[in-house]
Amino acid sequence: MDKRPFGVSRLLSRCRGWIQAGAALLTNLHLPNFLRGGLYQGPGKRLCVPGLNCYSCPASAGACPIGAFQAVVGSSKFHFSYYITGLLILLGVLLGRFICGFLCPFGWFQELLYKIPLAKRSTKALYPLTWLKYLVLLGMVVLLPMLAVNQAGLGDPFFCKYLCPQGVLEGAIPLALVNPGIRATLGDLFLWKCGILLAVILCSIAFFRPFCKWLCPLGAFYALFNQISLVRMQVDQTKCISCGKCAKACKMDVDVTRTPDHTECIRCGMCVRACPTGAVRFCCGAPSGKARSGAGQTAQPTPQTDPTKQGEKP
Amino acid sequence: MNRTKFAALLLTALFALSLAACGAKSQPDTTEDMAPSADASMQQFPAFEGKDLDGNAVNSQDLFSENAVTVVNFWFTTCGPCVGELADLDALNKELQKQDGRLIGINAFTLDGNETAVAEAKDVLAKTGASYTNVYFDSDSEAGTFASGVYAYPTTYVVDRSGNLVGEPILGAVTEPKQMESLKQMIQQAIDQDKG
Repeated sequence: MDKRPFGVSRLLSRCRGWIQAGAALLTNLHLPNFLRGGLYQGPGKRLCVPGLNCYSCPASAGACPIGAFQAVVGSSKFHFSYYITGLLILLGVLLGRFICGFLCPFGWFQELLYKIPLAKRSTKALYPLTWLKYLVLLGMVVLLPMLAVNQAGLGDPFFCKYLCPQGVLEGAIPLALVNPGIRATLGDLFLWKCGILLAVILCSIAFFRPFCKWLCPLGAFYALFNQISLVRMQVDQTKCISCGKCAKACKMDVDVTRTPDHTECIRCGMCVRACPTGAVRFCCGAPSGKARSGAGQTAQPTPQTDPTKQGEKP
Repeated sequence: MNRTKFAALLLTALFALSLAACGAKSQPDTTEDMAPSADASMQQFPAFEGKDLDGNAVNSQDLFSENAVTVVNFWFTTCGPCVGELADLDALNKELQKQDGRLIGINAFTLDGNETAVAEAKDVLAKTGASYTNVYFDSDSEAGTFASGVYAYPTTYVVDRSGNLVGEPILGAVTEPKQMESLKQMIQQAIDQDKG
């Protein structure tokens, strides 16, 4: 169904750094607030941004979807947040983990750290750790705020409070630098969060996007939609020569020719750039039959078996 | 290279736009934020006329002038740490009453007298055993603007008899030992100043 021209995929993956920078800026538009020590509290804050970005970041133009979810699900009034869940499902179905690859400021932060020229390690052997983020999503974001409540029925936002490094990077530290009242509140919890941030920073230098792979509940949520999202990766089996360059280029340990809709694929397009024949590309909409998951595709389809390729040369 | 230059130009334009946008829009939000906490000792708690949660009229002039020190606690109904300290604030209120002081609460959700919010606030106060006065006023009053500048909850102010702010506001639960110590110091300061 999609016939996105080849050039766009290459362009998209080449401009990704700029798009990430632009997204980080748009998500945190109110930059002067960093100096003022306040937060933007206008109407924009009622909307959730697609990536992981702390509500308490002085410059933040919107709310964090994960933070908002916990705040609402942990309050005594609403037991489930339909608006926020609905919004997240919409984003997941439209973009899936494309958001991770292009629009998340914290993902961009980790990639910038990865550019530091020190020893790099592969995360292939650590693949089982990728399951941890689903536990974080289920446990810290959904169950604990819902169930671990105080006498007034209020739960804590467990992920924000005890784990999120983006919150301490964007919220606690900038606010504490400028606001003496906030500084006075810092204690052991702040030390713990700084420790987590430091660990993520160090790991991000050695590994590619460790937080995204192992801990991010938002990435875990969007990953559930990778199989059905409108924006996805597509491999033209008629062009693929099985050279394996795409799998080698992939830093999320995904083989796009076998599993283009893998939950770990953040749609960064490194495979698109690595492919010598232009077989791998971004695609929007339900992929045509020939491009469906590579698993099970052995013979090259002929015009008789593939109605979408009528009259086209292989 | 042209594409790169264009992209760089676009990002710079966005950057400049954001600075301009902030100048216009967020100034009203943030200057009010800084005003209370920047130099609180010279500032006044804005005068207000409002009601308590049972509908009785209150005004700040009477409230503050009747006591050597008034501790004002900002909270809201779905704020975990705020609700967590309500019982302790009630105990503090009882202690203050022996010293010519009192504690009052302002629930940010109840501004403008929103009926549901008032009912829920009373419910939470009852659940936590907090019997001290909670007041509300109009959100477009001077006090309402002051309240909208509070972004960290709970926030606690200490006010003297003339309505002046004493010391810096305490952010976060006053049940933290460090914060309780600061609060007690400011309360003592207000009481001493009142005597002298």
